[in-house]
This record gives sequence, structure tokens and C-alpha cells, in this order.
Amino acid sequence: MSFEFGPVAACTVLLGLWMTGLTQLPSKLMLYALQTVTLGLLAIWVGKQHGEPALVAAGTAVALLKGVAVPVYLNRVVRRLGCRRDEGLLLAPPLLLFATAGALGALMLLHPFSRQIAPSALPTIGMLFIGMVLMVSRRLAVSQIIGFLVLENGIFFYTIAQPHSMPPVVELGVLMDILAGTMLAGLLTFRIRDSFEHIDVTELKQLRG
Amino acid sequence: MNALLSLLLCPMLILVSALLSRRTSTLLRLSAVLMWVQMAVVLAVCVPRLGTHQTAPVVHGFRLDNTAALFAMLTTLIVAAALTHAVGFFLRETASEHAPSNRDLRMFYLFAALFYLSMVAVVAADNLGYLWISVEATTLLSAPLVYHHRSRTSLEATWKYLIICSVGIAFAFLGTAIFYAASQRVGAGTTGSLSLAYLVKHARLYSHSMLRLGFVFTLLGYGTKAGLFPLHSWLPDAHSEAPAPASAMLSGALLNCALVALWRTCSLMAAAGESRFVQITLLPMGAATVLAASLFLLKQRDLKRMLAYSSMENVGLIAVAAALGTSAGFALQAVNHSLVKAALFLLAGNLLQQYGTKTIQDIRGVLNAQPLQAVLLFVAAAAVAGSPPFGSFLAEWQILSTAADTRHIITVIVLCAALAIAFIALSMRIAGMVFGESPAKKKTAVSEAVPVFSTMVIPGILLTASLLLGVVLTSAAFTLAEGVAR
Repeated sequence: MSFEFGPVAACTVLLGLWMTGLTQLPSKLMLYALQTVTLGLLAIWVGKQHGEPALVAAGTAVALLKGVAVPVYLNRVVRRLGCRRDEGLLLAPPLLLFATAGALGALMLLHPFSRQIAPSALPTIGMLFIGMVLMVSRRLAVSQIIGFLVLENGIFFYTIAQPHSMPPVVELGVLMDILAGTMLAGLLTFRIRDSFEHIDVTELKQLRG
Repeated sequence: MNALLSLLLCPMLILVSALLSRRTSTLLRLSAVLMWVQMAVVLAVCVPRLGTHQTAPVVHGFRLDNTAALFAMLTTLIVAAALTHAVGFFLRETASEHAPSNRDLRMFYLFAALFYLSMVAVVAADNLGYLWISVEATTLLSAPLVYHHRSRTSLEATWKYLIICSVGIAFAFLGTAIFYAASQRVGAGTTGSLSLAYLVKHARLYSHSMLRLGFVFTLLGYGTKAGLFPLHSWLPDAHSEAPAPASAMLSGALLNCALVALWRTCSLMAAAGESRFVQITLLPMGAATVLAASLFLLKQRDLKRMLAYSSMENVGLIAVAAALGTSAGFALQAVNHSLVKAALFLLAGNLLQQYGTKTIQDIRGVLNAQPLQAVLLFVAAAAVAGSPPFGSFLAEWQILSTAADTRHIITVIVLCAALAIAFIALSMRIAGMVFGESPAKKKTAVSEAVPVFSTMVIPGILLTASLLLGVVLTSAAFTLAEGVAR
């Protein structure tokens, strides 16, 4: 089964990798949308192949809600905040891209967990790693939300790579939680801008000790 | 189906009244009354189910077994107590200069009702997927409660809470997916299952390396939500920035939910014969949490942060109990900590309103100003530190003796040292507040208009309950707690 997954999985990981090198939030959202829609289509295709209507439904919901509605919403948030660039923290994003690529290469060579959760282990861990990198390497609140969503994509990939997909109720419940979380985080971003006059979450450090 | 409907009714009524009500005071009082009606309903539903292990699902994927029944009652009691205390609390707040608007209060009650339902869903979930969804829902629904004051610091706390917990919980979902994948790989024709009852029954067949990997991720996820060291950074912020009734619910009820989620996965691992692995991962983490929290306690200047670190210390103890598999220690410690910590957070809310500050240095001379409050504060501090006549002493004794029996000597030493440090830190701070000389200039800050007695009824009841558990109802409590099956 791994050979059908291979190219698609590689594509989604590469899209994630590309995101680590970007400073413009709208283009990052575009790539995120592309990645999520790809995963949704993959789920639909796998669902058709295995004759699992639940997976087809889940894939459709993910592609439409997480892949289209969420990026559109976050794009509006970014536009209304008027803050399109995220310079990155510590490392300039293009450099970060190379560092992440190096780390992913090392991951491929070392190949941890290979026997346990193969064949889907590598893309899952890759995407989790990229999501974490996206979250810790950026300053703006919106970037953190995007990082979280990429991380979540990695887990979704793992669930569709299994012989049997998650029960549809669970898949939908998870999706609802993620959508609600994104909405809430987006609303809080406006509040952060209004109270602090910036959305640099690394500057939120009044509470200590 | 009937049981489910009856459990949903009262919270739904609170929700509707929060949506419709124009008068703040009506909403506050109505919610308090409805929560006590809910308490009666929960008792009626849950008491017959205590002591039973295999009960029929209430509805697909949710089961009220002994553990669920016990924690559902505890959660309901804490929420009912917090919302009852909230009546006076919010009415006084509306009279002060930082008055929350009617809309903010309605939002608070709307989310409180939903938050309560999600917590009940967590403890009653029999399906790992539903368990995850409910735990994530508790985060999303309690974040607005933390943000109630609409201040900069509460915003910072809410943001950290939302992001750190969501990311942490995402790992728990990966763990859940790995458990599910493990259940699919036992032979041709198995479609796998997420049902805990099913997984526990077949756990011995599953690949042990996959179960271990799944457990590590679940521990990471639910451990974040429970505030285990080093994943605790959101906990003191959220607990100290939330208004007192919300802090009481977060500390008294929500932490238990995360711990019940951990307990459920521990029971799955134990059924697979992997208790040893649980012990080498969760036990050091729990002990480290207790130690770290007690060290943090030493340098706290802020009353609510101090209470939050004390909660973290107790979470560490409960996690140790879960790792050792001592159901009596787990349930008793959870129950006693909830009762006492909810009381303490409500008392801290009183002090905050009366003195206008959370800084321990500035809260002095409580004994002279309000003797009853001082007594309650002192008793609560003794109870939370695990002093003998209270239930928490028995629970901590149970945990320590189990650790000693199973030859975890280092854990016992670390726990004893940490408990001693925590005891000293807590009693020094509280004694300073109770007996300290009240500076003359601050005298005016103590508001005389407060109807003092009514603010102490609920904390007093909660403390009495903990005292009774330690003195009179010991054997009954032990029997009940031991029924919490793994």
C-alpha cells in the first residue's frame, strides 16, 4: 500500500517544508490550503479504493472545511489585522528552511519507529516536526495557528494511512474541535491586537514564575 | 437514553437562561439552583451505578461505570459549589468599579454550562476518540472563562492556555490513532475499535511496541492538560487569571478530567501487561511534578499562583497513584484535593475582593478583620498540605505506602521531601496572611459592606466534607475508591 501513498505524502511534506521558508502570511495560508486539500483528496481516494464511505465523507469535510473555510477565515483575519509579514524568530525563514530540510533528512536516514508504525511513520513525523518548527519559529499569533493546523494535518495523514479509518463520528468531532479552536484563536488574535497594539506573541510575558 | 436526557436537562436550562436572561441577578441565582437540581439528578443516576464495573452504555460510546459515576458526582458538586458561590461573587463584582457587563456574565454562564457538560462527557467516555474530543472541548469551552476579566494578563493567560493545551492534546490524538492502529493489526478481518472496554479485553493481543508508542503520546497530551512537569507552564497562568469560581472549577474539576483520561489509558496498558512501562514513564514524571511544584511554591508572592502550584503538586501525586495503579490513592486524593482546592480558590476570591490584591505580602491580618475567614483559610491550608485529620492525609498515606510496598524507594524519598517543602511553604505564607500585622494604611481597603458570612458558607461546606472523609467516612470512602477499576 505504501507505493500509492509515497508521492502524495512526499508532496504534502514538501509543501510544509516550503512553508517554513516563507514570511508572507497569505502565501503560507495558500500552501496550507493546498496541503490540506491534497490530504482531503487522498482520503477520498483511499476511501473509494477500500470501499469506506465514512472516509470519503471525512475527506470531503476536511477538504472543504479545513482546506477551504479555515484558510479563507484566517486570510480575512490577516487582512483585517493588516499584518501580512512575519519576520521569524532567531533564524531568518530561508535559513530555517534549510535547517528543517537537514533535520528531515537526518530523520529519514535514522528512520525511528520504522517497524512499529510503518509505512506512514515518516510523513507523519515529518509533518509533526514541521508543525512544531512553524510554531516555535514565528512571532505572530496567526503563524502559531497555522503551525498547529499543519501539525494536525500530520495526524490526519496517519489516520488515513491505516488499514481502517477512524469512525466517522470521531473524525467529525475532531474536525469540529479544530474548527472551533481556530475560530477562538482567531478572535483572541483581535483581542491581543486591541489590548497590546501588536500580535507578537513572543512579547506576551507579563506572567512569570 | 433516559439517563442521558436527565443529565443534559439542567445544564441546557442554564444555557437557555444565559442566552435569554436580561437581568444578571436572576441568571446568577437561577443557575445556582439549577446546578443543585442537577446534583440531585446526578446522584440519582450515579449512586446505583457505584460499585458496578460492566454497565451497559448510557448511549453509544459513553458508559457510567464506577469511575465515571464517582467523578461525575465530584465534578457536579464542584461546579454547583462554584456557581453558588459565584452569585455573591459576581454581584459584588458588579458593584465594584471593574464591573463586568451583563453580556460578559451571560457569556460566562453559557460557557460554564457547556464546560460542565464536556467534563461529564470526559469522565463518562468509553471510546478513546470521544474521550479526546471531550478533553479538547473542555479546553475550548473553558478558555472564555479564563478570559472573563478582559485584562491584558488574562488575555495572555488565555492565549497560552489555548495554544499549549491544544498542541499538547493534538499529540494525545496521535496516541489514540496509534492505539486504534494497534487494534487493527491482530489478524485478518479485525476492523479494530476505539472502545475502551473492547481494547482492554483484547489488549494482550496487541503489538507492545505500538501500545508503548501510543501511551507515550497520550501521556504527553493528557499530561499537558493535567499540568505535569515540564508541560505545566500554562497552569499557574490560567488558574490565577480566571475569576475565583472559574479557578475553582478549573482546579477542582478540570484537572481531574485530564487525570481520568490518563487513568483510562493506564488501565489499557495494565490490561496489556505493560504496567512496568507505565511505571518507568509516568512515575518519574509524577514525582518530578511534585518536586518542581513544591520548589515553585517556595518563591510565590501571588496568592492564586501559589494555589495553582499547590494544585500542580497534587496532580503530581495523583499521577504517581495512577502509575502505581492504586485506585484508592488515586480516587481519594482526587476527591479530597478537589474539595479543598475549590474551597481555597473561593476563599482567595473573597480575599481578592476585600483587599483588592492577590499579593500575599499585602494581605495581612485576616484574623483580626474576619476571624471566621481566617479559621477557614488556616484549616484549608492544613487540609491541602495533607495534615492528619483530613481526607488528603489518608490518600497521601495510601500513595506513599503503595510506593514503598512496590519498592519505589527513590519515589518515596522524593515525595516525602517535596511534601515537607510544600507544607512549610504553604503554612508560612498562609500564617503570614492570617496572623501578620495589618498595616494601618491598608485598613480602609477591607470593605466593610461585604456580607461576610455568606461568602464562607460554600468553602466551609467543602472543607467539612473533606474533614468527614478523613474522620468518619474513611472505610466507606476507601471501599468506594477501591472500586475505581483499572
